[in-house]
Amino acid sequence: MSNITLGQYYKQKSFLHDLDPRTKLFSTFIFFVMVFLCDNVYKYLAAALFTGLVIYLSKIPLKHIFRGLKPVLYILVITAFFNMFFTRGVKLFSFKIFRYEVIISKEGLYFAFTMTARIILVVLFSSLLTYTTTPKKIVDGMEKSFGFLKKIKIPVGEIAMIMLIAMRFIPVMSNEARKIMDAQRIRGMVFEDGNFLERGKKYISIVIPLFVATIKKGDLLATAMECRCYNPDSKRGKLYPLKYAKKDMIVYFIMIILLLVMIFIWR
Amino acid sequence: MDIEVKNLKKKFDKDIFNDINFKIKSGEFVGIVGKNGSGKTTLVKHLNGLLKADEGIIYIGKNEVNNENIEEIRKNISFVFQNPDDQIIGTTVEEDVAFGPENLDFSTEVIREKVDYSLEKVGMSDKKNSLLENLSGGEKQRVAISSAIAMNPKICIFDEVMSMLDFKNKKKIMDIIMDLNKNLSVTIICITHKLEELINADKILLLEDGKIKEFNDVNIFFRDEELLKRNGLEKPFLLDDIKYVDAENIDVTNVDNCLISLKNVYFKYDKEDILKDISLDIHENETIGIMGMSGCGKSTLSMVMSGLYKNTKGKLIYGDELLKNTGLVFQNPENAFFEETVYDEVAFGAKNLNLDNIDKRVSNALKLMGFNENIFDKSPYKLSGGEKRRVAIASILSMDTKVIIFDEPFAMLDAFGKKYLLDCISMLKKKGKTIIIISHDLKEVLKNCTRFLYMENGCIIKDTLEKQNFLGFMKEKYE
Repeated sequence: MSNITLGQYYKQKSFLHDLDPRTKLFSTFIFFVMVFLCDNVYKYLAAALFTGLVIYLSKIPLKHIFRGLKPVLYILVITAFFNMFFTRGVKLFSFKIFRYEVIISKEGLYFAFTMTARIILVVLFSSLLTYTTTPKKIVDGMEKSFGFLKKIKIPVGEIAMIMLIAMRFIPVMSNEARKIMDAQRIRGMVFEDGNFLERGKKYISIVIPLFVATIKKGDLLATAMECRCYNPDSKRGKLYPLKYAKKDMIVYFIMIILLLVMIFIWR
Repeated sequence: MDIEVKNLKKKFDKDIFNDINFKIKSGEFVGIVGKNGSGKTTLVKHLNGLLKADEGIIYIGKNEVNNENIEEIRKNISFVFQNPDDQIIGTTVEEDVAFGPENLDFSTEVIREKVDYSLEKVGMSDKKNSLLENLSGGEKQRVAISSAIAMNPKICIFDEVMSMLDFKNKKKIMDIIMDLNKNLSVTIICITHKLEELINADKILLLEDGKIKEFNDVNIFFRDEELLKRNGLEKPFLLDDIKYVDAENIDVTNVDNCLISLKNVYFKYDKEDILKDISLDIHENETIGIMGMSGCGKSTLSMVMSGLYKNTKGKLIYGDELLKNTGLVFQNPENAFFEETVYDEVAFGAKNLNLDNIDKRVSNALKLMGFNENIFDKSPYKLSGGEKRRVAIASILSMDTKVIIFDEPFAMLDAFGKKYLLDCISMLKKKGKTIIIISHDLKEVLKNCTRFLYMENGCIIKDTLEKQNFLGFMKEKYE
């Protein structure tokens, strides 16, 4: 019973699920680069269409995907708002609130659109990564890709494990938060009432126990891992060793071609 | 692989190990018992090097436990903890079970073999690709045990692994442990305070006052009432023993006075109905016991009754507006602590409801739980586990609600803890409160309740005022 679907693995049989995690990591990175290279509406549209195609390939229900966007909605609205109203430029519309003239400029509108589009695309695409790849697989992929950094003493293994546990803990902590909220509600706490400041103060009654719970659980999990002989520095076997298949090569090829097209051909 | 502990001494907060000596032979099934806070888990953590003693030596097989060979030692000792959520690494079942063997750098084929084998041993082979978050508590615990077995340990330590489970799942796990012990010759160390889990044990180690006493005949141990009582233990609970149930005559007056009424109530959180067609009247002065397998909807029912969750269908009628403030003591209520002093924590609920006489409410509630004013200024975080639990209950009692629901209040309490709780419930009954107890503990439910409910798959399938009737019903369920 978890409300947070962001970052949660969704079991399914699909083209995307079958890909090697390294392929998906690479593709996500390339996609981010391409999104930030977009400089006109048509490019954003193309990126959106591409994302749509990838969603289709993942066979994950649309409802689930958009539920993952909900937490980001607030950021989207705030970003759009600030960009729209507070960017100087060529005046498009304006209206008066009391004695103050509020201006919406062409640039403002464009920036609002750009920022919103980027955030949506980036969140959608990266959530596809986590929906189709278990945290352990992502981490195994990162460890293999960046393993060479171990030679220059970068603790790749530890960093990878930290990320695994962080992702693994998202549903655990959201569950815990829900339980704590229920416990405070039964003691008469109404979180929804009050102005912004009052509500903020109320959340202390969730944040503190959640913090304590996180530390306790982290400690217990670390102990359990030690008991199972976890050692980030030593070599570890794999139940499903990472091996590239033909479909991975195809995807690599497509992503590189798309990036090159974006940089050199489509101006 | 024998275990030998010699002259172990350790000082550590309140725990003191004076001079611990014991031996466990290879292949033995040993129970470690003692009252809450006696240090059972702390002691056992020394065996695989999680903790280091101040003095003394521990031998696992021929090896002395020290910093150099800890990794080797841990290959031979597996540890399973109480809460599966705190041990699980993977997302799918086989991902988690493979974690241990992967750490030991076996080849893929060997890892596959070990995973399949250990899943079969716990009866979870058909769920190897299932997502762990979709499993029940009992299934998750079996996966945790499977993860331990996958490392082919010679010694397996189980720390209160059955305390959160219903009797069906308990039986499954006891069978798995027996199989490990009898068929695979794994040495078993089982920490618990439920002696029925140790009826097949070869010997019992009692941790009392920082020392270990060995009992090689478990039956003699179980019959020593004075010894058990002193250490917060109760005789093993065997169903056949309850032939005569004390019929405490509680005067159920005001039976017509219906406080909360549920009519054809349904509740669903996501897609499936968790509560189905529940019709239930709760009367003043009743003490209702609700039992059922994990996942049957008992906790959800309590949350709908208390107004925390809104029912999706059907009617919920309160005899009095104030009843919307039903007291509900969750499992592990001490997890919701956040205030700086015990006083503030206990006053929190009463303050939120704008009740009067906060001072009086707080001191009455704390008195009911066995405390005096000295506790007011202490930090809730610095109390012992048992004290935390009592303060958490007091924080619900200060709201002085007419109905109080307890969700699994006996879990993880030893006999001393239970006594505090039962005394409190007794007092509440005398004050005319209506009590609802959700529990897996049949003995306590029979002893303390006047009305008995059993839930299955979201429905109430038994609702009776007669103890013998309910006992007979439960005996059939246990089979």
